[in-house]
Amino acid sequence: MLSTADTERRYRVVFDRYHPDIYAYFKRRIDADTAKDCTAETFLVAWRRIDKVPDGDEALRWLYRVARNVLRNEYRTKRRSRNLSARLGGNGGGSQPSPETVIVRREEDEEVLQALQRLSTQDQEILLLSVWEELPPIEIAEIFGCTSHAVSQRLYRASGRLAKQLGRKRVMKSTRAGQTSEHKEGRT
Amino acid sequence: MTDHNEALDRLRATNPVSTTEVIDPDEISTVAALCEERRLTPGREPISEPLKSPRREVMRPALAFSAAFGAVIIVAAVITLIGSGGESAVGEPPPATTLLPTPTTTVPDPVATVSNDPWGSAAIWISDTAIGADGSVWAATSGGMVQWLPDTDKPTVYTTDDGLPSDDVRNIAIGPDEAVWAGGDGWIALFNGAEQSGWIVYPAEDSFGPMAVGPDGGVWSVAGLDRLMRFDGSNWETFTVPNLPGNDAPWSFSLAVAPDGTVWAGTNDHRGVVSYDGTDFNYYEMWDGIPDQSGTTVAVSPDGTVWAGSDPAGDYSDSGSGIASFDGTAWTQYTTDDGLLSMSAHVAIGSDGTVWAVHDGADDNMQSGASRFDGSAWTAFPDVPTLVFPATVDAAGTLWAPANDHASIVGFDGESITSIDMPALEAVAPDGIPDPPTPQPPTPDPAATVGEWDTILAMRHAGPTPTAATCPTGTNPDESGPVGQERPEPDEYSNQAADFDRVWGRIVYVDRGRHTWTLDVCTNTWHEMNADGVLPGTGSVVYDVDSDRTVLFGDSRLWVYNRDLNSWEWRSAPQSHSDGWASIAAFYEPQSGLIVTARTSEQEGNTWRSTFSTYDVDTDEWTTIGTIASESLVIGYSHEADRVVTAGVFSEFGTDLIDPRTGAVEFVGESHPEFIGGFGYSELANGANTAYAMALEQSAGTFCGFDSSILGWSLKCWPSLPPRGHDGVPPFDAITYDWLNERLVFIGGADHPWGDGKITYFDDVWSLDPETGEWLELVPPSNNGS
Repeated sequence: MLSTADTERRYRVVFDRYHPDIYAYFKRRIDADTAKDCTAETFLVAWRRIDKVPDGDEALRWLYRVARNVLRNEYRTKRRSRNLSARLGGNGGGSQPSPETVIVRREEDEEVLQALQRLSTQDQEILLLSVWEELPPIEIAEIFGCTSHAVSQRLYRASGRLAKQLGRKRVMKSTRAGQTSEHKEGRT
Repeated sequence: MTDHNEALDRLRATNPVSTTEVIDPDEISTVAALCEERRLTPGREPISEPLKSPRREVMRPALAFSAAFGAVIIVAAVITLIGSGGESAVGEPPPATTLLPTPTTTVPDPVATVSNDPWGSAAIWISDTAIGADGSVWAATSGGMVQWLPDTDKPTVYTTDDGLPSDDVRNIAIGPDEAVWAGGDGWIALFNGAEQSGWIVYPAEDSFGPMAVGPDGGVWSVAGLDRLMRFDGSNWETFTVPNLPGNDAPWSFSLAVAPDGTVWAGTNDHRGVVSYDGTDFNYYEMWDGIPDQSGTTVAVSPDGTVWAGSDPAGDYSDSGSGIASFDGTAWTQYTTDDGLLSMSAHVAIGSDGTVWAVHDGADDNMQSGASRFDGSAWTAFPDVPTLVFPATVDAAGTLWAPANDHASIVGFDGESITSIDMPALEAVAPDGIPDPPTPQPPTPDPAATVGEWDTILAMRHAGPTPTAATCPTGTNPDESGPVGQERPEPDEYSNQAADFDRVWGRIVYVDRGRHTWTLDVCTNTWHEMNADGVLPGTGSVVYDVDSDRTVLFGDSRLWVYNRDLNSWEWRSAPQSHSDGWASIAAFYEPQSGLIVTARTSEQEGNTWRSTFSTYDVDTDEWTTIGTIASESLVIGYSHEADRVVTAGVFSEFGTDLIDPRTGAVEFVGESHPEFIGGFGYSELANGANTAYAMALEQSAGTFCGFDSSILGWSLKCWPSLPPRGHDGVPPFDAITYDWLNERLVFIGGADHPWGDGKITYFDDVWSLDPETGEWLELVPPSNNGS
């Protein structure tokens, strides 16, 4: 067990080194205020579990794992709040926060993000950790608790599914634009 | 088509905060300040593993106790172990040195910092506690059920969002079969696992008291002035306690079941202890040797020893109080002379036989704390925080009980204290309805139950589930079936229906020509059955697990398929169904083992009336359950949500969830926005915690998932069905869930588009893995396919 001074010192090293990364992780996914809140929540866990935080660069992967859980809790809380509000007759508070809701984007970006959202949560996260966080498969593997080979496979499949979504979006747009009025009548 | 790399490049370009970007230092400093503020909040010290010393130690108090609401705080500390006369708990010598670090915070006297007025200080009331088979700590509270999994510091809260009828939960009982039961005003609920449908709810007496589970899994409880009740999973059985002295108050507030099945009830108003062995009631009173107290708590050791504690409840008397144990022959009393800290003592026992007494200091003259029985005498622990009943004991012998302000639950193993704070919950008002967070103008519910609702679905239970099929060795369900194989003829005018026979491992499908076909999902091969019986050309197909029969609802009759005889048996329908099944949704309801039908036959403005009935295949009995008025139509039953799902034919109309057992209607929001033009056909299939609704027609073949975990429409939508799908054309005729391979199966239909009159056949079969979203072609198209 660490002494109080050692505990403080150790936490300070981890915090100073990685809190911009963790804040950036959240900011890429949720609005800035919630990102700050989630960052604080993540480092509170780190502080209280400082004995479990690994040394060196592994600490960042450990923090990403915690951050993923914090984010999931945040989404769950928001969903609950939305459902409760809906039942109570409120507006529901909107849907799960996502980057495109907080950042003004080009149409091109919106198309990509909408395609991303059609993927499974796991696909989304593995793509974002790779592309936005720029983590190599071996580090993503530690976060997901699987082998780097599995991560590489999942990444390939996820990028393929994203590509299909992007391609499909284009087809759908053109088709819908040319839809005839008969299609809107429906059948009996 | 976009390729992988292009997709990744485009995604990379959308990164809102690139890794080379330097975030504004002011923003970062704000984050740092917030982190520090949160970290330095009192009570958020690093977690230390409780010291596991082979020897008991006498140390100075380092008691850390937090009564703050908010994040879960676990404080492991060591308290002074002051046994009777200051001796160590089990007579071992104290160690020479302490192994613990100096506490980093000043620890206040817990008694001084915790309110002694629990009624006035807490928004949340902890009504009951229990330990799960996995070591979870459970608390029944006025804000829901709370579960702390072992070794986690995040509680999970179960509320009406998770299927409980009310957030006001009064009782918990956990049985030897590891089943977790919750009880409230007029209901009990069985925990079905966090990943499943949450809670299975059963009606109960309007008001009932404590619960306990017997060795056979039956749930015992008490009600009214003299009733003992047992719930067997389907029905309540009531036993009137004879010759019980009259009183206007509930007669019992503590219940336990011995390993031999004898039920023991602690009573109030000096009525002692009552036991019921299935035949006789026995009464034990003060002169038999039990504590003479206003209230008596009971608990039973694994060896069958019965323990009775006492609660003065404002009527304290020294005479005869304390704790007593019963060995089957005589009661043995324990008082402060035996080391008990206080004569006011509730009793709780763990599965390892550890007996604890909780002293809540209810009387000014009494000391609060805890005592532990060592087999012959008691060891007193006066310095634990003030705890209140109901207490529970885990498998390791650690006592868990609410702090008396109900802001936390305290664990005490005789050496160290673990305090887990209650999460922030919304307390339920006495009427059982959650208080809204802010005043909201009332919004009329668009759906309502019309008239009475029969509770047959709540009171019936399905029989044992038949053994499910498995794929034979050598078959590969992922391998496409033979090219050019014979196949059913789809109907271009109406959608066919299919369901999966779980014992057979085949999908049963009735085609346009009224022929019975089955699809073997292990070989992906169609089989024409040439079954006996004349069938209607359309209808709903439902596989009834309970009777192991497939039922076809068609025209105004129904047919039951016996696969062993390969024949359909014709059965009549009630007179009320004579208008046919054109607007019917039918599904198997797994809890009751009955088929439920929802017939939509009337419409007033934008509101339809759907009448729900049950059909028992075994007895050929119909029961009308009730009628729901809704602007949405029933599209099916979600296994995961345990709710009937409706969807508006236009997105602006809502989605309702209907509890088939109570008729309660819950509006969960608008239909999926992709259903922009409405839809004329839909069907629900289940899987991966998502019930998938296929909404074809005007929405250009949109297929969306209803996410049972959030009770709302998910973002998982496929704007055009599988690779062969034609945008804007409904290529699929039936959808069902393959329980063997755990995937959705789409059977291609035919399209008769408006305008040119040409029929396009889609007679292929595809599957969708709901976990991965991947499509797989199971049966290639015939030459008729377009």
